[in-house]
Amino acid sequence: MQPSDLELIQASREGDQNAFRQLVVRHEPIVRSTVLGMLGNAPETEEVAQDVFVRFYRSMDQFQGNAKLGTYLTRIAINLSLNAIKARQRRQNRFAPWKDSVQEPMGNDHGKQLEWRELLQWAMGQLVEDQRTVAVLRLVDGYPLKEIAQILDIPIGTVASRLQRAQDKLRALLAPYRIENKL
Amino acid sequence: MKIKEEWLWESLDGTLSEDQEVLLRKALSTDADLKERYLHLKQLHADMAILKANPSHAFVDAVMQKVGAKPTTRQLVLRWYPRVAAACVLLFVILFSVLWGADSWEVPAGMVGISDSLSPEDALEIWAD
Repeated sequence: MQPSDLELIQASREGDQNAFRQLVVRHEPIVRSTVLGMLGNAPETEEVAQDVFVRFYRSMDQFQGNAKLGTYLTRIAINLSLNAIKARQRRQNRFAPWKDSVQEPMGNDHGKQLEWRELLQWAMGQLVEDQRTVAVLRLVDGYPLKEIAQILDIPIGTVASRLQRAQDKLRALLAPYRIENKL
Repeated sequence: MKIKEEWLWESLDGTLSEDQEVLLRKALSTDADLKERYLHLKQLHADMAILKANPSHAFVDAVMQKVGAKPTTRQLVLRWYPRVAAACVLLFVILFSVLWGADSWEVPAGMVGISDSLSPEDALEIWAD
């Protein structure tokens, strides 16, 4: 039987590095998906995703176990991603010629799926932060609306309305490409 | 009954209650706008699934390398506790000896008068006596 997250956390607190490794393996896909959805395929994406676990490792004693670990890590991932977006915006303001690192993808030779993936990432990058956050949590991570409300500490109605605006914008952004590619 | 927007999502997740699912299906068959929104959502749901990250050993290794270099406070305490405790005990013994034991120290009677100039053999002889 697989040890629970809490058992692994307890073992990690006592210095068992292998237990912490198991936690990373277990929660790495959702953390990376969240950060990738928020930041796009940018140079800092992997670094930020790694920092989520490093942050958790250093503050493990503060984790009470009231929330699910996945939810807790996702919250850290969202916060660190928003910080990275702010830092990126500051850099862009400082160096005016810089453009958003998630640029509109051009045609490439990597096949249709990669192209479509890039398009989706680009479309996500066009959403304003609060809409992007709920879109990533719902569309990429697959969290139910109730859990998104808990993660972001906002009412469920706000989550639904942000999501509605996000999906409308995504629909508008992706429509020309769907027609072009007959998708 | 009014169909809530989140019902569309819950239906896609398969978490909508049976009663609500019946109501939603009924609404979808009569409301063209709702049906269009539902189909769009379904499409988006499927599309975004490809943005999920695949498991990566390199990522896990990089995290472990980072955390391995900087242990937590608790781990530092656990690691250093026995050494600090041993050092404290040793310090206490030394202090105790110096403060309370110094006056009662006496040179053994047989050792009186032994000069540094004695050869080891002579010293052993005196000690044996």
